[in-house]
Amino acid sequence: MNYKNYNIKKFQYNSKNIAILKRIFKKMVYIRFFELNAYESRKEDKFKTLIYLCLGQESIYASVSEALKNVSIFGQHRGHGIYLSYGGDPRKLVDELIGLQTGTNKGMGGSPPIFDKKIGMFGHVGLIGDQVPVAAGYSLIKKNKTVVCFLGDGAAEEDYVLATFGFVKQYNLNIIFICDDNDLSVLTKTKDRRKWKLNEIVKSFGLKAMDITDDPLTIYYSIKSIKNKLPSLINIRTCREYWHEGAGKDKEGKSFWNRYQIVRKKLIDLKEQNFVLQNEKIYKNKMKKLWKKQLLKL
Amino acid sequence: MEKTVAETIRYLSKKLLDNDKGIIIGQCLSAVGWVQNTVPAQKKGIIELPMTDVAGAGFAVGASLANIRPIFILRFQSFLWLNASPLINHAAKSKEMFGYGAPVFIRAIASEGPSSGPIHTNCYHSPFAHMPGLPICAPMTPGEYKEIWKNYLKKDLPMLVSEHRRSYKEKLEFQDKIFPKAKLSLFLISASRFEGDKILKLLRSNGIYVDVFHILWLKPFKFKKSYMKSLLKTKIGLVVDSTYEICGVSEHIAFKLMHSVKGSKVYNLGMKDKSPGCSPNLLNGTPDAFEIIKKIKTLIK
Repeated sequence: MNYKNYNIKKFQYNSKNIAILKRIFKKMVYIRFFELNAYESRKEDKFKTLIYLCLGQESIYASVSEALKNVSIFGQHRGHGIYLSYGGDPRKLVDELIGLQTGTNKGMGGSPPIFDKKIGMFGHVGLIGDQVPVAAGYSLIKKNKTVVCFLGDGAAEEDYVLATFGFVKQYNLNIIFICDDNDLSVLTKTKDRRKWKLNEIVKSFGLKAMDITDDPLTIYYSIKSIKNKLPSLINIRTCREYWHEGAGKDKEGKSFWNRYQIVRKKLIDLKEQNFVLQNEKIYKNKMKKLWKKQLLKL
Repeated sequence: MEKTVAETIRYLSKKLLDNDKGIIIGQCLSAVGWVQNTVPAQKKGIIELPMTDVAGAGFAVGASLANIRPIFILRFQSFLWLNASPLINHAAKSKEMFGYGAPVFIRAIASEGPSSGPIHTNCYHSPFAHMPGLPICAPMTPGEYKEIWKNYLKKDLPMLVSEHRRSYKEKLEFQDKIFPKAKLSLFLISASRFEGDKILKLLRSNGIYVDVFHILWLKPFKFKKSYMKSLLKTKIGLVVDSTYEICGVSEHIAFKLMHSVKGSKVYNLGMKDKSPGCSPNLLNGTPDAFEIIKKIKTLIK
């Protein structure tokens, strides 16, 4: 099924919404060019660590970070976008990905464990869904802080993740779960793994839940509407462009939609072509330079 | 008045909760006598978990990241199997992977006898000793409990505390016993330590002397000079534990001792390699004084 417009909200593109969309797109450009350089460098075998690219899913992290600020963050293995959109140091991220001691985790684990306490982001151990009960336990103590916990549609099937939904409702925790639903567990489709829908299961535990596509303003306003009704979950349909791990494409054109290109076109239609081209140029050069410089350390 | 082990655990826990520095988190904490009277009977700081093993350990690990000290209680050590992943993959590795600690105090409680059966009987500290980042101890006296608690509070690391129900009513402290005429060095772990005095008494009546050492820290194993001196004298050692004999901590410690003292031979003794049952003919628990003496006699022949 194509979820490109799934539960998408219709917006008036007034100056306020255009400004929001532009801020989100700027982060999407940043993440995209960072990831494209990671992809190229890995493809050329410049490094061999575990790498999980989030190309195709940029709008989720860019939009969530715009809607939810000053939060504690628990990410998962595909976390470059989370780290970058919340303000993590990109040099440290490159260093971690290329296995240097100067990386976020001193070269411990490639993509999965990246973290930055300065931005409130905790590390992930690499086991899918492990971060979900851990985030809930943290939230149990830090009641006045909003906790954002990212998970994938595969992680949502872990028994300990499902148990966590019951726990957060029992203690009415100040936590929001964001599910990056790319419909894939490595390469296995959701329909081959389960018959149930995450948002329905979560609702049955008593949480508020939504199921939407990865349109930036839809994400942004969905979060705004739900952030005072926590604990909650938003399942966001998205398309992973590249391999589960490493650098490669499963099959050209396999993604149903490319949200980056859709948002880009929308901004150009809104007469924001200069903004689009200027930011693409800036981040293209900036990220290329960054990767080149850090790779010289190898 | 001196405190029992259970009273000591309750006292230290209460102090932590009343000072808002920690929580006690676990399943069925208030039921059946507040975990053998080791948990303070109060609401403040007590988190009753749903029956969600695995996730339960994750909640405890998460709480430890929020600048408090969670005491995570597993009423049987068998529950360690279900809760293993967050404890060994997150809490134990956190310091190395992220540079910040996840100081969960894991109270894993062993029991044995006809009411324990094939799953819940005795200790499972051995498989956890295999993984990096998780100190493991087996305190059996009030003084030892205070010592390991102090050690835990000093660092921001998790700790696996292999408790045994048999210790809860005890007030005594154990002392190592060393004899010039000793023919064997005996190293006791967990509930086997309660057999020490009986072993000495029975052997002495036969004119046999052994040195007896009480092991508190399983990982890292603290090698004392007195162990070496004793083994240099006796050349034969025996390590006894309240868990399976093969592939476990006692075998590992025996190996370490043997390689530290040239020419010595150190053996180990524990539960037999079969599942214990409730029926008297199926019991398989901590080796008692008679089993240990039987083994000692074959070794010193």
